[in-house]
Amino acid sequence: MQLLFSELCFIVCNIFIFLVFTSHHSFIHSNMWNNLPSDLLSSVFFYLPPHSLARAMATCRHWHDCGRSTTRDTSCQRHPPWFIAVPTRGTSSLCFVHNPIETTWHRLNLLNLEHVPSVTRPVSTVAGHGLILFKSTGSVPIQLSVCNPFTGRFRHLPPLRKPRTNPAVGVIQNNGSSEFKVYVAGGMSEAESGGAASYEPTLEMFDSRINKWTVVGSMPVEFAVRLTVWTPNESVHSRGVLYWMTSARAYSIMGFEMSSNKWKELSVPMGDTLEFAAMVPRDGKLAVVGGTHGGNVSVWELGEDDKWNVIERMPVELGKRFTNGGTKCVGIEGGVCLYKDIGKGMVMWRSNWNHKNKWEWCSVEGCNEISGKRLENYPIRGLFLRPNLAYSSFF
Amino acid sequence: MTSSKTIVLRSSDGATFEVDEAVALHSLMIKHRIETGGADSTTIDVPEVTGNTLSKVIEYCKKHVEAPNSDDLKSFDTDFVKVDQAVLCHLAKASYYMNIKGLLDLSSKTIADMFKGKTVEQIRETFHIKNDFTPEEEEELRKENSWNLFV
Repeated sequence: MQLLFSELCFIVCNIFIFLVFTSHHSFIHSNMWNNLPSDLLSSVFFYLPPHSLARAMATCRHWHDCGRSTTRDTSCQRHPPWFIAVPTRGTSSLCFVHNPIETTWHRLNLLNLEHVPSVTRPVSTVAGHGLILFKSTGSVPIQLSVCNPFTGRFRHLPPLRKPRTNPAVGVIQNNGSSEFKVYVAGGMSEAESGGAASYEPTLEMFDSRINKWTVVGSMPVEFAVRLTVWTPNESVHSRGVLYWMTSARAYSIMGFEMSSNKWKELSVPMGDTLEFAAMVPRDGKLAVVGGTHGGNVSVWELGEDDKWNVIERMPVELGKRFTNGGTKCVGIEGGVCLYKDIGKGMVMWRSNWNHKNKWEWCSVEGCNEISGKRLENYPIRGLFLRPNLAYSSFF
Repeated sequence: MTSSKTIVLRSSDGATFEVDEAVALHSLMIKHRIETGGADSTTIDVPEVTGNTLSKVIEYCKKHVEAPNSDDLKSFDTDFVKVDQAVLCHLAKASYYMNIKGLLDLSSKTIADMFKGKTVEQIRETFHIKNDFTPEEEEELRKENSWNLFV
């Protein structure tokens, strides 16, 4: 009897010790991650792609605040850029974003954001800061706004010094800081009472640091005309020059040199035979992606001597889908995307983070359904962004 | 002939480790302590780190100081962080307090890999996080994250 009793005690004691140990153990575990210094947490967050970061920020308040205050250097190309599809015509207001890591399409609340007026169109991006620049549509003088589609923040820019319609819009961003400048060139200025509207041969600049527009200088009227009639889709800043390209054949490029306040003109390789062409930035240099009707797509880079060199050709197999017109192209540092409509497959050319100098072509499936329902195909304007979830004093 | 000066590092639980000064200097925190501590600083206290973790940190520093150009450095690093969660967490904290950038980056990257493919709830489970959002805040988050596979 006694033996049994002491055995029982022994067992009970062990169970008790075991329970204390495991609860103590899990107590340690549960505290383990709770008291990470914020800087260390930021260091971990740095390595998370945007969708993982957003999910981490949704776990608790502390992690949410840490993510909001971790200013990522979004010019760093550790994470691949995200492609955003915005409908070009009023038939649909569904915007989609492509997650390049999970290769999934998601509905993006863009045109339906609370403050976004319904008559706006994306005109450009401050791609490195994860922002979209919107312009008002219609015949009123242009009104520009800035939006971060991944945090939902939105803000109007103040009115221009010289109001105009249909100007070229360009962006210069500082790497390593959240500041940026918006440039507006050309456009039609309002008619003086009774007179005819005329081309506005001036360039003005918005500095996000001081929240003001300044007239930078004048420009040749001929350039103002071209930039107004064939309003460019994007600008590229390279080696101190801000470049714009006319939006239709015969393609030509105009550049504004910051330091000398002078304008210059560049020819586009095969500028009068290309069916589509777009300027993209590449390692700080200006590049042009262009294709013929037959589906031959090439990439040219501008050398130091302002001469073009072919640096890449799209594999023939992929080029087959870009025949018969309607091809568009968008680029960002580290990636180029060729596309047509939301439903049709796209082709991307992207740098591989692990082998920085190696760029790879890949095919991306279009978005054909949403929540199990078939999606009608519609034409889109594509944008490339590096999602930025951090708090910005700009808004 | 370089001086083979050694430094003694003392962990939070009193364990002591004698290491070459060159190895100890891999930690910028220790480097600073030595430079500002005067001639008597041959024993440095590291109260934020336990003996077990300090031992591993020293192993990392030794490898990176004594054979920085070796071919197997990469595989050393990969194997070095093949440890359980608790050890990884302690390594990350130690590398932060002791200001060892290479180890901080390595452990941060490894912890970041633990998030791969996880939902919000799975992240909470993995890291034992308590959800302290109000239902209204959670609704806000859901709206903000419409572009993300959320649940």
